[in-house]
Amino acid sequence: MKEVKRIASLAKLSIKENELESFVAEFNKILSYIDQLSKADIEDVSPYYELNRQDRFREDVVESYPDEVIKKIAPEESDSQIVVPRII
Amino acid sequence: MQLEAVIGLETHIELSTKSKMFCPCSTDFGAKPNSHTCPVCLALPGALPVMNKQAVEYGIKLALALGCDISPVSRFDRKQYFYPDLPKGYQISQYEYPAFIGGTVELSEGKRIHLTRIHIEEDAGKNIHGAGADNHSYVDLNRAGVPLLEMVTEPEITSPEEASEFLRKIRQIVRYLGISDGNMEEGSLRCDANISLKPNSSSTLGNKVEIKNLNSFKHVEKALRFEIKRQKELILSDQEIAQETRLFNPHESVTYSMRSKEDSFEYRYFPEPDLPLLKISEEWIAEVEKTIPELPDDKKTRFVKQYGITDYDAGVLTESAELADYYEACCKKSANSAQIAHLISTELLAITKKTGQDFSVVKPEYVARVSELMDKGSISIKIAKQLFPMMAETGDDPDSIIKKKGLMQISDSSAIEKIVDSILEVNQENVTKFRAGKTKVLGFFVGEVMKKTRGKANPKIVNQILLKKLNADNG
Repeated sequence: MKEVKRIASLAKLSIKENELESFVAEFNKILSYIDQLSKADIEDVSPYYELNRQDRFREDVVESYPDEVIKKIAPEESDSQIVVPRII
Repeated sequence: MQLEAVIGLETHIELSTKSKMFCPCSTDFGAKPNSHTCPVCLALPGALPVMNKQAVEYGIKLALALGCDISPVSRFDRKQYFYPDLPKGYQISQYEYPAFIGGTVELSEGKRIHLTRIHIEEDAGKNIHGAGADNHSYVDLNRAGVPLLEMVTEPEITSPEEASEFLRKIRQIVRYLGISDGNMEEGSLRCDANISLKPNSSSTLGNKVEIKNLNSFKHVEKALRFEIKRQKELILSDQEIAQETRLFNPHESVTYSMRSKEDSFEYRYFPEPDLPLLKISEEWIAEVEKTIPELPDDKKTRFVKQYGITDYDAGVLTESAELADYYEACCKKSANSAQIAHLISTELLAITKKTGQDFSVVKPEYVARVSELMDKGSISIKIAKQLFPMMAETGDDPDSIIKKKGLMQISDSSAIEKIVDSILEVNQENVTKFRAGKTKVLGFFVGEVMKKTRGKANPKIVNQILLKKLNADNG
């Protein structure tokens, strides 16, 4: 229960007390599903990070992107800045 | 109880690439908000980051300059946190396997500060918070995704002054390398400081406090000075120092608590699946090594040796690569390198600092010419001192200023003799004093002659003539 509360606060989500119980159950279900992974035998398998895209670099060249995109995704803007509820 | 400060710095260096770390958006400072954004740095679904080769190369340059070990393979990780300056909800950084490990920075007294690591990451955007009744924050993501190097030192810095010297040194080196403008005011160089106090007999460190977002050399010093005092008082009154993150308030020169350790973020790092491992080959390193210029310390040592100038002058002249080049350009035109060094560090830099001009307003050949005229005895140091403000103001060469203002030194004995005679005549009292043995009044006479000639008389000849006259008539 404490764990769920902490994760909710890290994710900036508010969870009502009466919802907690059901979330704990759901979390446990997901965790036990993921836990299947830890049963796999990986004794002889080395970690794999490679994406077969090694040495893929960009040259340092500027390309601009039409700035309407920000207008489309930001619900509210002021002088081209995205407006959000005050943070501090 | 003697308490010793133990300080470690985390310095963020914004790289001066043209485009961002993982997308081709411009990194120009001061553009219209959000005009330098694209699906990658806005974190739109499906957009993929691609590494900027130049940014990695700049990292290699700094690593080579500071003697870091360059990891043949390093990895990018996601650092998760929620804040509106970070559209993805995570920052692409390097955690477990940084690109560069170790290295040292040498301070002026020869003390070496060891580095833990330097890694590559992306910058976040910028928030402006509404004041008063305005309960909004405003987000500009132009800076989101700009390449950064984060440099972490071992806790080996022991005073606020040392911390600021370390940062100045880093600024000097990144500017020499041409990898960052190092401008603290524009945020190209930012620093967080970790500080704790320990009794100097003890080897265990006290609780650590982190001070965030120090964005000028002065702030770094002031914040650390305040923090040392605050922690000292707590320790001496037997109170616990809370392990926490604090912010510096520059208006009051105090630090205040931002969050305690219990509230500290759990960043939940994991490998960035959208990027391949960063591989840096020996060949690549060798290529980059060819582009490393002579670094400040080496240049300083060479200047002392090659030009026979003082350690101090060499330090001033190698402050920036541009100034060092300027000095060498002057020395190519005239041989008296020690005198030229002195003219630049005391005259030229003094005047341009006052007017806010760049030292290059006075052409190097003009400085060389002033030195030459002094060597020839055509002008005195006094006239040279007058020439620099005039050259800076008009951009004219010294010869034409001397001609226009009639500043050529008077070395003509008969002309000086006449002036000496007239001065001796109206100052009989002092003449008598001199002859009575008060030879100190000679200075008074020299001063009078200089006043009358507006500094133009050749001081050597003035002295000769004065002594001759004062002594001769005595017999």
